Amino acid sequence: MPEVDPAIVAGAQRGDRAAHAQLYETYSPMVYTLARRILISPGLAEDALQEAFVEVLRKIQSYRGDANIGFWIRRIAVNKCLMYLRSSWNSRRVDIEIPDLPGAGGGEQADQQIALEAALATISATARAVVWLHDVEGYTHKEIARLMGRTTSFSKSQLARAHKRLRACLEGDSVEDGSELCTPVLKTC
Amino acid sequence: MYPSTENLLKIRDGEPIDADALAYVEADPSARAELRRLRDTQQALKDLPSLLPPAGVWDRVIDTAEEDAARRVRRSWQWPLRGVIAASVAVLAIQFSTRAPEAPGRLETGPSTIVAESVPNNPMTQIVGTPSYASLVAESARLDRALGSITYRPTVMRGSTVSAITTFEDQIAVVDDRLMYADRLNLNALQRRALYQHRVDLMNALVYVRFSQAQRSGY
Repeated sequence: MPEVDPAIVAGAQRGDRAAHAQLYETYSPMVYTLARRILISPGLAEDALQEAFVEVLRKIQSYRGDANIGFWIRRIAVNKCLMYLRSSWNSRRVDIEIPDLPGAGGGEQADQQIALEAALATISATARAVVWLHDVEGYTHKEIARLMGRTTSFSKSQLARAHKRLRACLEGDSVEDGSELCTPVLKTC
Repeated sequence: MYPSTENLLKIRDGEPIDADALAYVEADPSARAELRRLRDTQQALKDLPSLLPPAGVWDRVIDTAEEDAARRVRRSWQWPLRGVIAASVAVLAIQFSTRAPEAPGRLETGPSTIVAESVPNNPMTQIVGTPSYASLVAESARLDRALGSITYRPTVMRGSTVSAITTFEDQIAVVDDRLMYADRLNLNALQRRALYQHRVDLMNALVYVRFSQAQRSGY
């Protein structure tokens, strides 16, 4: 998690525009990456990034400094992404917008990363959010359950489901429920 | 029995799990391989590259934040809250009860019989609970009549009193406008009731001020 000088945070709380810009510069890649991984669609991720930072600016004065501000910003971003997933209009946009999957340079590792991103895009939005929040962001099942308004069992089963799907898509296997399609961004996959 | 993916994930994440399942994984090469694969997938997800946001988002953030702030300010002025009205009424009440009358002195000794004819008793309303739409309409009309019956108008008034009366009258005109075009504005029943409630509050405040002026003038 990137960090900023506490003076920047204090400046942002006083309404200093340069401090706001510094916060954005430091944390926007983290927020955008999170949004792209969960929402897949570049357009939605951009909207989520914008809304997250509008909220950051609106609520910055309520930040008490008891945790790294990056975690505070991430929590706002996660809530925005989950809100987008819950919205029927936006979930339709998730289905429609098929992104150009970002790759990193070239070589075998880059190929594997592209394959993993493609596989990630094939699992259901909820399962994808769970696997990303748990396996990458380090959220516990209890925290994920609270964020999604579900039970910890739901979070655990979604994580297991996500891994099965990822494996199926990466290795070209069929999954246990018989669905074999791994079409990017379709929730039915 | 071969452990489920859920159980393998529990082992991967160091969560408590049945001892038999753990023993099975330790003894079975394919289960161990599956566990390793789950760890590798997690690491591969963590190793995915960070993405840079497209240009121009920050400008939109600033624009939206400024629009938001402006909208909040507008909203706070557009719809004068009942608290403000109540406070204005309270201030006026204190002014009227503690200061010398602003009406000409001769009126202080004016004929009290005229008062009885021109000023209704207790013209203000005190509605308790959630009134119905019909009762609000009726009350609004009653307050209109009460206001009309207070014929006394002082020739000299304090600036603050004039300002309060003008504010109430302007706001009532705005509410009346909205009620007149309620259909065109597609206002629902709740919104219409809220408008009438607001009108009753404003009328109460206005009647209070006029009634107090009339009383203070000796009527």
